[in-house]
Amino acid sequence: MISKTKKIVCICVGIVIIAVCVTMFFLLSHKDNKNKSTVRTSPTVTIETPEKVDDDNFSVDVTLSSLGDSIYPAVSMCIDFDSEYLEFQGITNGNVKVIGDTVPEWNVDTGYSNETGKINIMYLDISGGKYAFSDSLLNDNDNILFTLDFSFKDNAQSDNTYEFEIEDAVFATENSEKSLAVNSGTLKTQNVKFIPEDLK
Amino acid sequence: MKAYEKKFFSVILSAMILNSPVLKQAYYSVNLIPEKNIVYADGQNTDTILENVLSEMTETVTQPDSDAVSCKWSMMCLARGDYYSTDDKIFKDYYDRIVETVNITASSVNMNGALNNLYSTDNSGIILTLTAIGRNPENTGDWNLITPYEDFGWISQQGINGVAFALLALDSFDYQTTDTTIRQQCVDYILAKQLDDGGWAYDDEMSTPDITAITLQALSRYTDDERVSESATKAFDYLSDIQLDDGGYEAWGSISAESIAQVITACTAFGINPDTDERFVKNGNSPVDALLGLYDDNLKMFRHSTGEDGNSMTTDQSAYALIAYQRFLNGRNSLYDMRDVAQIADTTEKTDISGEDKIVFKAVCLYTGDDVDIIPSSEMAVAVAVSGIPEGVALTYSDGNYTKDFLYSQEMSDKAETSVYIALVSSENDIENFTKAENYSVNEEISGDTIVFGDVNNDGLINAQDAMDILSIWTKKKNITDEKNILTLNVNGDKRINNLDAIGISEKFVSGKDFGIIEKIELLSEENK
Repeated sequence: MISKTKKIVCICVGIVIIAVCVTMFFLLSHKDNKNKSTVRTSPTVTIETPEKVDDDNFSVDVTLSSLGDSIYPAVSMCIDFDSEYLEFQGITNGNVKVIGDTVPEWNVDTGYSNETGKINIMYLDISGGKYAFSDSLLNDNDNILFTLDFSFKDNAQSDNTYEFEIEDAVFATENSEKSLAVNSGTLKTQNVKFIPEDLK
Repeated sequence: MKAYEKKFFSVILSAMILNSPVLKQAYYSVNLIPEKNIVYADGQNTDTILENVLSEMTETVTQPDSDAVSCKWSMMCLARGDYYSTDDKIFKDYYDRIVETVNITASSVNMNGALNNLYSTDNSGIILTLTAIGRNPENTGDWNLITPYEDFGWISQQGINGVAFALLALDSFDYQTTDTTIRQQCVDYILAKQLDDGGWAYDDEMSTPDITAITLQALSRYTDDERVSESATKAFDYLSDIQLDDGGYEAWGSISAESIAQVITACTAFGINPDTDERFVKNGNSPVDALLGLYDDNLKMFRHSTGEDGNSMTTDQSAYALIAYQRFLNGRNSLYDMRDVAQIADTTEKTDISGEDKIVFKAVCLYTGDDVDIIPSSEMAVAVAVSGIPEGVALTYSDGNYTKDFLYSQEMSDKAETSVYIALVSSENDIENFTKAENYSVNEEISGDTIVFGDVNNDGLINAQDAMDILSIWTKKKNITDEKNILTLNVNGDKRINNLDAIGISEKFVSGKDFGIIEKIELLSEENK
C-alpha cells in the first residue's frame, strides 16, 4: 500500500512532467511556425545584395516584407544609383502579385533613369483598387517586387563600392493616413552597398 | 451618532459651505440648489468665462470659410479683450481679408467708400474693428472708409442706430471729417429722438433697452454738453425702471442677452458699475449676474435667452460687454474708446503699374470647365505672364467688378522665362481685361501664394500618393471645391480632372515629362503679341 506522502510526491512529479511536456510542445511548434512569418515586421522595402549574372551584368532584387491592412493601388519608388559607373538596363517583374492574381506592370524609363542617376518606378492601378497590392498576397517565398538589371560601364572597377539607396517610396491608399511612406516613417527601407569582384 | 449630534454637525457643515467658495462651488455643482453665477469683487469668474469664450471664438474666426464681415465683432472682442496683440498674425490675416472685401464692396457701391448705400452701420462696424486691431480705416485697400461720413443724410438714413454707431466709429480714434459739424448733427439728432420715458426706439415709438443703451454709449463722450448729461440721466432711469427682478432685460417679450450686454456696456461707458450700482441691482441680481446666467459652459457661448442654444451674435455682444466691464474694473479705456490702441504702421508699398510703367501683361485662357468632372463651365484657368516685377511677389487682379489673387508658378515661370501667374476665374470675364496693367496691383513686400502642379497633398513630393488622390477624387470618393486644389490637380490642363491626370503624374514621376498644363504656356508666346 502506498503511503500518503508518496502519493503526493507522485502527483507532484506527474504535474511537473506534464508541464514540461506542454512547454516543449509549444516551443517546438513555435519554432516550426517561425518561418511562416506569423510575427510581422514593420513594412520594409529592401534592396537585396546584387547577384552576378555574368561578367558585365548583375541584378538586384527589391523585396517587401509586409504591408498594412489596407489595399494599395498606387506604389512609387525612387532608387539612387551611381550612373557614372553603372548602366540601368531595365526591370524584370518580381513574384509579388496584385489582387486578381495579376503580375503588376511597373512603369520605368531607363533613359531618364540613366540620365539622372535615379530610377523612378511607379505602379498605378487605374481602377483604384481592383488590382492593388495587398498583404495577403505576400509571403516569404513571394516577396520580390521587381528586379533591377544593371551592367557595368567600362570605367567601373573592382573593389570600388557601389551604393543603391531608396530615396523615397510610398504604397498609397485611398485614405492617405493609412498609406505607407518613407517620409512619414511608416515604411522602412534597407539599402545596400556592394563591391564587385573580378571586373575586366 | 445621536440625533442632536447629527443636527449640530449639519449646522456646522452648512455654515462651512455658505462661507467657503470651494465648497460652495462643489455644492452647486451637484445641483443641490440652483446655481447662482457668482461674480466676485475682482471679477474672477467673468475673467475665466471670458477667456473660454475668446478661445472658442478664435476657433471659429480662423476657419478658412469664415466670412470676414460676419466675424468683425469677434475680431473686435479678441483685440479689445487683449487675447491677441495687434501685431499678431491672426489680425494680419483678417486685415488682408477685409481689404479684399472692402475693395470689392466699396467699388460695387461706388459711394466714396460706403460699404452700403443704405446702412452706415456697415462702415461703422468695420471701422470699429479695424481700429481695434490697430489698422487705419482711412487707408483700407483702395478706400477711405471715413469719407462717406461727410454726408449726414447717409448716416441718418438708417435712423437712430446708424447715427449712434456713426458717433462710436468716428470717436473711437477721433477720426476727423472735413465737415466739422457732423458730430454735432449726430448729437442733436439723438437728443431730438429721445422719447418721453427716457429711452430711444428703433421705430421712434416704443423704447427698447438695446437702442437706449447703444445710444447712451454713443453719447458718453459728450457729457460736457448739459443737454447730453440730462438726457443720459433720464435714459439710465428708464433702464433701471424696466430692469427685471433677475437683473436682466427683455426685448420683444423674452429675456435677451443682447439687451443685457448693451446695458452693461452703456454703464461702463459712463463709469457706472453695472454689478453694484444700486440702480441696477434688483433682488440682489445685477445685469452681470443675469448675463452670466445665460452662459453655456459646454459650448463656451452665450444663449440669446433662457433655454436656447448658444448663438454667435449673442456671444459677440456678451463678450464685448464683459470686456467693457473688465476694462472698467481695471481702470482702462472704455470698450469703444480706442485711443489706447497701438496703430500698425502701414509699410506696404504698392507699385504703380499703370500708365507709363514698363510692366507688360500677357494672358491666355488655358482651359474652361465643362461641368463633367469637377471643373464647372463657369470657371476658366487664366495664365498671366508678367515682365518687369520681382519674381514671385503678390499679384492681385481687380477691375472694379471682379477681384482675384493670382498664384505664382515657378514651373511655368521657368518654362516661359518670365514670371507666370495662374488663377481660376469666372469665365464671364473678357480675357482682354487680364492684359491691362491698370487692373492689377503688385505688392512687392510680400510673396504671392504659390502653386506646384501635381503636388496634391502638398508634401513637397510628386509621387504615387498624388496619383492615388486624383484617382480617389475622380471616382468621387473625395470632394474638392478649393480653386487652388482644382488647378493643382488638373495637370493635363484640359477641361477635366480624371484618370488622365493620374497618368500624367505617373509620366512626370517616371520620365520627368512636363505636365500638359506647363506645356500650354507656349500659348503665351502666341497670344497678345
